[in-house]
Amino acid sequence: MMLFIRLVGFFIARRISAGTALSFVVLIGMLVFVGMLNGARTRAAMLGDTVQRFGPAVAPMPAVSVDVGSVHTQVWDATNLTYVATYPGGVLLPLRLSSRWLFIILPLVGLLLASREISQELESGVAQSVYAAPIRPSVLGMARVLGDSMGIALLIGIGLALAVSAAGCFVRLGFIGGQVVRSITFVIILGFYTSVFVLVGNLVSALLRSSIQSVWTCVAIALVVFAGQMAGENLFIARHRSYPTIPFPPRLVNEYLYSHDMWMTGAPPSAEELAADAPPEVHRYLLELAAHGQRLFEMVQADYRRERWFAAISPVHLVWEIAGQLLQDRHENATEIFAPQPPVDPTPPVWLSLRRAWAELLGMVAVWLALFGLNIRVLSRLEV
Amino acid sequence: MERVASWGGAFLSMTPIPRGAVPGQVLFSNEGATGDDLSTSSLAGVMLYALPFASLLIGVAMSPPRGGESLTVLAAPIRRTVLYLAHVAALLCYVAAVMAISWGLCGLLLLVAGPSGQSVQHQLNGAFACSSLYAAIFASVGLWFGVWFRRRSAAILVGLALVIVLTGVFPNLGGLLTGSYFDANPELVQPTRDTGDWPDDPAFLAILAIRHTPANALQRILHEIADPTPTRLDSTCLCRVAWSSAGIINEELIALGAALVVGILAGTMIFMRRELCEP
Repeated sequence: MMLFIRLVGFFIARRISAGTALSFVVLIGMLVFVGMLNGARTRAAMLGDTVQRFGPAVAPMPAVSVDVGSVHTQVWDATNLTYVATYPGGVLLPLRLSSRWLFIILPLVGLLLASREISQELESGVAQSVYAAPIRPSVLGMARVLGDSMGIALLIGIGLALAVSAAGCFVRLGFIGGQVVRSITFVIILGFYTSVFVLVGNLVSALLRSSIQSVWTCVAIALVVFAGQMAGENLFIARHRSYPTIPFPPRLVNEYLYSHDMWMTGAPPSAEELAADAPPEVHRYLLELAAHGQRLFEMVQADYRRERWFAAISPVHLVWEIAGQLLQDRHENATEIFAPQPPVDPTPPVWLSLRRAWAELLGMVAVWLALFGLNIRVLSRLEV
Repeated sequence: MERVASWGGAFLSMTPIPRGAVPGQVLFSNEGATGDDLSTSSLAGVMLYALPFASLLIGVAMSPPRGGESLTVLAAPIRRTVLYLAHVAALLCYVAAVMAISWGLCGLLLLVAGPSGQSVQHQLNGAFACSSLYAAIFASVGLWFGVWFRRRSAAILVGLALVIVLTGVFPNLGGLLTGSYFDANPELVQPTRDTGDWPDDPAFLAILAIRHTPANALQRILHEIADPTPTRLDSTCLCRVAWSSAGIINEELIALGAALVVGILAGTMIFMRRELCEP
């Protein structure tokens, strides 16, 4: 057992200290860091522009229109817009604004980092020395697979966490307790997500035994992952159904809601208040809005559930669903952004958001375990 | 009723990005203006993010092979520069052919599926020209890396790192630095808003250079193709800037052309000095 732990430690250390892996982590960290800074700036600019165009009398309202595209995209964008307009601070919004690209780039990085590992050892003859050691091949294989995937997951996790923290400190985003826990969980999940592709890369490398061939194969797999994501989104666009619409509220409605201290945290006006002092136009509009919101929410929820099945074949959709639930702290379920109901107060705990994406999390763990088993099988029978 | 007026979503009255409403937005929409990453599933997203990597791979695959074949050719009375430039020419023809086929298919799809007419043809022509140029830049870099690194796998890894920097880091960095510059020099916001000309300040040159890196340049061209109105919101400097679309497109095309020339020249220089024996 001690030998196994030492071997795992050795492979983790080797992974973490590898120059290529470190360079990629620095690059991805830079990507997130700059993306978060720009996200924070864009948010300030958009808020300024809104106030300039509409004045401060703009009342926040439920999302009431669904654009063309997948419902996942709509929920993600609507949440972003809400946060842009009414954001109290913290790292969630900048992280949302800068993370979508990671869902595609991390598989590519994981695959390429692992693609040359075993094949290069076979080509250079290092594998002969390693496998000549008096250790059972299955133990060696298990330690190697575990060490490699954990090493990359750790490296990516630490790199992303450092980038997010640095960006947070740099623009004084503020570290709000719940948001920090969500961000850390998200970073851990991204590390795990990358490690799945490290296992795929290792497998390809061991099976093909040629570094250039395995690099090209891994590139092809990464392109398939990208194409899967693209095909899914466009399929949803093609099957997009028409959702009900409602005209934008008249200025009077905005002014009324604003006068009732609705700007940031105010409670909505009660039915009595509305009956007492709301002009008939406002009253009518809000009634229409209630009926419209409920209808729209039901449709969105149904479509959202259907779209989640696509995650079974598209890793990007899988991790995106988890991110969609995790990187928001206003609702128990991300789709409730379309519901005509107020945000949850206090903010929902992280485990509740994770529970909403249980199928995707379970799927990711199952795939990891399957790949782990396959890797051990291939590595323990590797001819050197 | 109490639940109705609560705040839960996007501003109803705030529609910062009119999507799909402008008749010109057939191929490209104005998405990405929220500061979010451009959707990778859209045509613009594929062009910006997938095209560089794919063309880089084509470049690496078409780079002069080490060993016998190249050495035999070089044994003939032929200049190294000529050999490399022949590779470049073949590569550019290949990239242009791939782009022509892709956009041709896209045009056919549009003809079959719906919107057609002069505006689409104009957009298709523009998209073909700028995407070919954009792909050629990364393909030439791939060719250069294929010569520079002894192992092609190393060339691909370094190429991927470059693609991440150019398409992921620089677009955000350009917006960030521009915004910071105008924050530090608020007196320049009004003149920029009025004239649309960037400040003459030498310190701004570095920011301009970043703003004209390939991905930034292509993104701005796509914005202009999607929404060719002369006045548009530039969220990075908090101002509405009156620019001529044609001016922006020409400027960015020049930037893309310059990047292509740099890629080819650098590759030629490396090829002149590189041994071509087997790794």
